[in-house]
Amino acid sequence: MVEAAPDRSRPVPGILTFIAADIANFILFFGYFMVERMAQPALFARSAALLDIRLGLLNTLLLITSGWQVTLAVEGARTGHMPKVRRHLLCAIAVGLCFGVVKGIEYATKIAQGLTPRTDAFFTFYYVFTGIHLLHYAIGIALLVATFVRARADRADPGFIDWTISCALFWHMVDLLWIFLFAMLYLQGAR
Amino acid sequence: MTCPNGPTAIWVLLLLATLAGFGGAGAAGWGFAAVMLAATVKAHLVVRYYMELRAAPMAWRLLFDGLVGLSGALITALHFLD
Repeated sequence: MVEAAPDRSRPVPGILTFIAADIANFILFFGYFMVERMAQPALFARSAALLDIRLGLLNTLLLITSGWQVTLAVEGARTGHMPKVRRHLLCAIAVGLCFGVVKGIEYATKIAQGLTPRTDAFFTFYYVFTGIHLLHYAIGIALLVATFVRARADRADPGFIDWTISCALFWHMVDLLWIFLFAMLYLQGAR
Repeated sequence: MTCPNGPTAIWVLLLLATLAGFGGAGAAGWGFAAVMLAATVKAHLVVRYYMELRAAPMAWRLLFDGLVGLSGALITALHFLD
């Protein structure tokens, strides 16, 4: 892959500051979880084994695929190719919505099994962290839908490209945070 | 190295890294370190290519590379301390 030269003529979207702060906040969450895990590693590993890693994997693949479609929509926005923007945004939203459905199935299954936030420390963290992530996800989906609505015009209105890039950045942050949550919550075994 | 189709090539790499990381599910110790390495590489790809920070000024690239590296290193280091 060819590394692009830094483009100082293109301003950095302001939303990057918010995204950096949000990721830093999640790093605190990761640290808090891991320190609590050190106190009772066996319990955390036993509870983590009760999660369905296939659903976690499926959700990872869904977010990565939705993010890919968003990058293609941004390409379309930059070239003013509105049908391409709409096509890829619709695809990104459809695939992205599947994440919410899978998460809903996962929550319902766990609650039916009696695994709630009050079960133990691991499940408290699991519901809180995935819940906060789900809130980010819901905002991300709303932004993608808003972008799709704005993209219905034949020509991009002023500011559309910047808006699309900012919404895309937010959506990629949802993907990025899930990558670490999936590894930490679902894939970690006991030493 | 050339990239025939940027976003699609990155998507394929992300899928492969996800499946590679999944192969280490439930692993501990160095096995989990490998899982976290795969996760960190994926996050790096998202930052550089999906978020297009490869074209951003150096300070922004360093900030996001630092956040991604810190996330992976923190989880891995604390895993070894339990």
